[in-house]
Amino acid sequence: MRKRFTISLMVLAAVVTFSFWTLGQTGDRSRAAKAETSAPVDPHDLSGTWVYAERQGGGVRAHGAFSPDVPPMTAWAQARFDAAKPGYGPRAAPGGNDPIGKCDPNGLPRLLLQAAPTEFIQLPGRVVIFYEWSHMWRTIWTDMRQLPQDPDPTWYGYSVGKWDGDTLVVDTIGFNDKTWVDFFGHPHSDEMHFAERYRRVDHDTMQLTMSIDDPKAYTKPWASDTKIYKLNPKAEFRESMCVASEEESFTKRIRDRAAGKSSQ
Amino acid sequence: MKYKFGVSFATVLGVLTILSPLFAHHGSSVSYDLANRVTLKGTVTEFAWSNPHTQVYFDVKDEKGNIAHWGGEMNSPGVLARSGWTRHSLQPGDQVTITIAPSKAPNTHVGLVGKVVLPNGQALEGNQVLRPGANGAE
Repeated sequence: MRKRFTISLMVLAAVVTFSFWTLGQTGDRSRAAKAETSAPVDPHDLSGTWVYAERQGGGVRAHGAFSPDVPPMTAWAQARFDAAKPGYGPRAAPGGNDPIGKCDPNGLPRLLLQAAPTEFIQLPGRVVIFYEWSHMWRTIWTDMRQLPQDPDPTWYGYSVGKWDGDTLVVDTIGFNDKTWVDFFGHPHSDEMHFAERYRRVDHDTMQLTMSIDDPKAYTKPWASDTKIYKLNPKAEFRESMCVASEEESFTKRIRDRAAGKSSQ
Repeated sequence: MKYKFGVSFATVLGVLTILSPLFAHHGSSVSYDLANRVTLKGTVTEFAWSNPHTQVYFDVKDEKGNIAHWGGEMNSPGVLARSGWTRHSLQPGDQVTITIAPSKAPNTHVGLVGKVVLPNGQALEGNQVLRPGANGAE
């Protein structure tokens, strides 16, 4: 009886010790995580590798939507929208005409609606942002220069940024009208004024809100919802380029065949 | 750190890490009949390990000896590598068993590749959307 009691006591002691040990481990890990998040950070420091943490558009295969709803389109924009045949969303159909299918640049804001990692590098007078998706980068001029008066239309426009308290406000103009706003075929014109507001809220978290001011396409300014980025120092960029010759081959050998476009 | 629905950040990040190359799909999955997969035995003629769509081309012979030239779309190398694929996984001449979701358009011999049984007997998934338990999968 005494022997059994002693053994039971030893087992109990072992179990209790083990429990405290594992609890201590978990406690250590969550304490470490909390310490990182609450670590002091200069909000004017956006540098690091960030991963877009918020899922949009409902579902595993969906792409990011700019916002849950779209403002009314002008007649010009409606015609463009009707002509667009996306591969995603409610109007998705085989064999579409999405311009990224032939490796046209994504443009803005579409590039920002991807979940692939981005890296912010801050230099004197500019912030350079790298995007894994389509192997792209942008320069945001932060040396107090003004937006250009009559910029040549380009795929990504011309961006200037300035600090409004703890928020980096970026303004971009000078776009061409050849890119889609999103994966669903919404258009924008070459008059689009695109704004981004980046705010690092804690060590691991950055918020982004955007707005599109494009009276030629939308009768009202179009505000995005809040996108959340999380710091991920371990993320290593893969090479993720759209290669025109490879896309063309894939389109001919698979995509068009799958859509019943060619006979083989 | 917990989100609104109790999904921890690590899970969200893990899911997104798997999913982000899926966004490179250009929406071609809408062309395939995901609910009506077929399993085919064939011989690999080409394995194109390329971004963002890896492709496997394979010949399937029927009882009469007619050969159908199939083409299968797979995930990007980045995604495939995470479930055990390498660029050496298939060679021309390999005998494989491929489960494929054919196109909605009939008789195209093109589809979205699901499970692939390699010559050594190993089974690998060709597309995350077709793996067991995925959205829209059985």
